[in-house]
Amino acid sequence: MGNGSIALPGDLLDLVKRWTAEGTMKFRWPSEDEGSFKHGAEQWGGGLVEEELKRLNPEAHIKAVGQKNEGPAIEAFTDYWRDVPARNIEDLVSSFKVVSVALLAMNAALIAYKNAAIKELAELKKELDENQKWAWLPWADDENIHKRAQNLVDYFDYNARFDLDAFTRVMNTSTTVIQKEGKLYQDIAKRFTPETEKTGEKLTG
Amino acid sequence: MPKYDPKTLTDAADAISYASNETKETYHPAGGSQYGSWDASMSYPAHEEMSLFVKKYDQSYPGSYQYETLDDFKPESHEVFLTEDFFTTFGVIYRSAITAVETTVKQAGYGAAGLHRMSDNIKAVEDANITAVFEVLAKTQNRG
Repeated sequence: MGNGSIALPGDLLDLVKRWTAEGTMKFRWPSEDEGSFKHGAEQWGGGLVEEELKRLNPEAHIKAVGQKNEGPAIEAFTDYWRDVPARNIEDLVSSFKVVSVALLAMNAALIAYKNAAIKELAELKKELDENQKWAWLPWADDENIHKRAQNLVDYFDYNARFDLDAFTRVMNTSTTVIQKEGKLYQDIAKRFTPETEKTGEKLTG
Repeated sequence: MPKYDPKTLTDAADAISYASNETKETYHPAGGSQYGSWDASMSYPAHEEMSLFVKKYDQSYPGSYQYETLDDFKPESHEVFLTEDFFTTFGVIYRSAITAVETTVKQAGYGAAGLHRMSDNIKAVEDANITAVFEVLAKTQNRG
C-alpha cells in the first residue's frame, strides 16, 4: 500500500477486526490506496503526456512545409499528416484528460467513503462503549447487552451500505468512461497492421 | 518551377524524429539506447508512467524501487479490495493507450521519413511513389 493512504485509527481498527471476526459486522475496510488514483490522474492529465505527444506534431514546422513547398507528394503528406498522426495526437490528448477526470473522481469517492466510514465507526464505538458500561453493573444481563451491541453493529452496517452504494456508483461511472475512451485507443492501434508497416517502410528506403 | 525549400522539410522531419526517439526511448533495451547503456537515472517517457500502480522505493540499496502490483492491495480478513475489477479493466485500457501512443509514434515516423526523402531533391515533391504511399497510409489509417 502506498504512503499517505487514509488508515483506520487504531481503536476503530480493533473494533472492525473484533466484530468482523465475530461475524456480526458485514462492513470491511477498503484496502486500496486512494493515492494510486491521484497518482494515475496526475500522470494522465498532468501535462507531461500532452507535451510528449504534442512534440510529435511540430505544428509550425508542418505549416512551413505546406507554405514553402509544392507538389503532389507534399499534398499527400499534408493530407496524411492532418488525418492520421495530427488527428490521433489531438484525440489522445483530449482522451487522456477524460481518463484523468475519471481517476480523480475515483480518488475523491474513495476518500469520501473512507472518511464517512471513520465517522460512522467512531459513532458506533461511542455507542458500543456506552452499552458496555452496563456490563459492570451487578444486575447486568450479558446476553441483552451483547444483543444490543449486535443491533448497534447491524444498524451501522445498514447505514454503511448507502455509502458503499454511492462509492460503487462512482466506480461504475468511471469504469464506463475509461472503457469508452479505450475504444479510441483500440481504433487507433488496430489500423496499424503488418501491411501498413510494409507500406510505411517504403518511405524509409 | 514548383516551390521547394529543403530546409523546411529537414527541419520538420528532424523535429518529428527527435520527438519520436524521445517518446520511444524506453523501447530500446539496455545498451541499445541512443544514449548508450541504460542509465538508471533516466526516467521513462511520460506515457509509460500512466499506470495506476506507483513506483515504490525500497531499502535494499540506494535508488532501488519496484512497482506495486495487485498483490499489494490484497485484503486481510477485516478488509475488502473494492476496486479489483476496476484495476483489471483499467490495466487493459492502460496497455491499449500505450499501444495507441506507439502506433501514433510510428505514424509520425512515416511522415518524418517522407519529409526526409523529399528534402533530398526537388523532384521528390512530385514523386509518384511517395505520393502513393502517403495516399495509401491516409486511407488505411484514417479512422473515418
